[in-house]
Amino acid sequence: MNRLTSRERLLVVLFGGTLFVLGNLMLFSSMTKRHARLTGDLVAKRSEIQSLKRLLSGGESGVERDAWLTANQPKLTNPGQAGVQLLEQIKEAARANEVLLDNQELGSVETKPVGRTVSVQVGAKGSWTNTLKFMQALQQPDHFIVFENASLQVDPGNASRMACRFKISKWYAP
Amino acid sequence: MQNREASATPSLALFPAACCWKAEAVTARGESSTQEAPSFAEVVATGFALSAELRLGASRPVRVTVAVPARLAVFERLTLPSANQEELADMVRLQFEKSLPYPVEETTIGFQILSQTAIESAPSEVQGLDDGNAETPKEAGVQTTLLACGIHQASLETFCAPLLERLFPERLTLWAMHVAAQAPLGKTACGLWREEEDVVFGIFESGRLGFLEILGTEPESLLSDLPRVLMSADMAGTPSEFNEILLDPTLSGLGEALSSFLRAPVRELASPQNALPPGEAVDLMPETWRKEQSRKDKNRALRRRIAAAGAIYVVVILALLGDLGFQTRQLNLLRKDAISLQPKVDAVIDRETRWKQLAPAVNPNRSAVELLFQVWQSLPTPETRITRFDLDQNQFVVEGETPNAQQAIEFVEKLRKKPELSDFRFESGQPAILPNDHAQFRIYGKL
Repeated sequence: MNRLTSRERLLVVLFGGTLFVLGNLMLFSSMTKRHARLTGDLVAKRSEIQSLKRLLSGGESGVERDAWLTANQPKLTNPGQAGVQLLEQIKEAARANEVLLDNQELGSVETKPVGRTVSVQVGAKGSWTNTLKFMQALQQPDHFIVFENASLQVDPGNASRMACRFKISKWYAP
Repeated sequence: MQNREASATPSLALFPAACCWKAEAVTARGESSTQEAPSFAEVVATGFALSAELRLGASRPVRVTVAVPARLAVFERLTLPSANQEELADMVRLQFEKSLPYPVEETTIGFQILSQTAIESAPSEVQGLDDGNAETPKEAGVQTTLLACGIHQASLETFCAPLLERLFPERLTLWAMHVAAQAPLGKTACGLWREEEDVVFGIFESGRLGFLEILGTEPESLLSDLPRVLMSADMAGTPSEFNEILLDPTLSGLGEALSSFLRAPVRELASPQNALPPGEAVDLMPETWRKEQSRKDKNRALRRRIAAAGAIYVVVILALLGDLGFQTRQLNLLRKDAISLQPKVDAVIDRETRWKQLAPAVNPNRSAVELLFQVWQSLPTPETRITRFDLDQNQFVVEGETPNAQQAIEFVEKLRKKPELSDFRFESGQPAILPNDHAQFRIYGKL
């Protein structure tokens, strides 16, 4: 094979050098991008794991609350009687607090994310203080009774009384 | 193997001997080993095999020196009127050109100075009259007697081709000058030795080659040729009376005849040391070889630098790849950790979600009566009255009246600042002014 002339050698070196530089640019560019992406992913993943660990470390109270809920939330054993029982409980509280009930409507048993619910809609009239006591008597944490809707306003016929309309539910365990 | 004085550089010397060639390898520790081969081509192979065996050149290139036989060279004894080395070189070139059988441009020329004497010129009459020392001789300069030798480059390249395929020698000398170095200093001696098949006769002046002639291949014809050779030497200005005769051991049968003919004692020529002190033997390396060697050295250095740069490049690439691999591994480990934590986290989230969903039933802050209590506590003045309170799953609405609009705005601000109502976001429009100048407000508390 003939030896290359100096001009041919120069061209070969230039061509090879250009290829080498371009190849390296591509290689280093892709490596840099990959490095940056990996660094970002690592930071995000570390942060995520720290959040998860924080969440886990604060989960002790959640365990206790969950245990309390499991132990105390009532279970619906007789769906047919649940509404009546709730209404009786409401009537009892109304009597005890001198609140008059009217327009009582029993609702059906519904299944919701919180569990199974039984609701009752009632109208109530009483003084401001008695109404509040009536509401307080019903809504104790271990009763699992919720005022899903409550509308209180001054009774147009007697300004010293409140005229109310409540949708009261009892939440049972799923 | 023999031990010599420690030498800094491992070397390989190739030189002619009786009916053969010899390769002598010297290690960096000064150990030497010699092997013979029938031809130059074979001694090159033998020499490199010997070098490999002795691990010469393991850490640096082998230094190769070659001593060529007299048959390749042309000699001329010259007497020139200068002592300056550069001037002498130019003069030798001019003088030698006349007798060379080939163009001087194609010849590698070297010379060895044999003697230098001061030249005295006749006294000038004018000078003599002026200074009164007319009879005192004046020193006009120095006259140098030297032996010039030339080698045809093409012949040399053909001869050295087996070696040049591998490398250029570091030094190229004439073997006769190595032999001459064995002659006693300050005396004249002659020598008779074999170079390959040739028998060579040389005259040595104080250990330097002053005359040389190849006598052919038959030692028996020497005695008949010797008078002619001595006459030639005499005509060239070389002394022809000797203090000693150096004789190659392979020609020892001629010792007695030579001694009686030349009237001088015979001494056996020892195995000559190939490594002469610098300057003792003329270096006949062609300039083109030096340039080519220099180019090759530069190329070799460039290749070494490129190899070093390549090694660094590979290390950098490997380091980057290693870093990427390490980071990928770290990421995979973190992903595994996250996956292993996920079920526990899901359980925590489920419990939290359940608690939040049941908050209206179990969280006192979310009970209707508690909201009413907090709203009542936030009333700015006793004159402020709540006329309506509506509550559903997502919000509560408070409507009422205040004696003036400012109190309605204060009421909203107090609700917003209540920590117990921090779950709610409060919105209210501008209070409406009633005919009795009271302000009617409506406030939304949204989850």
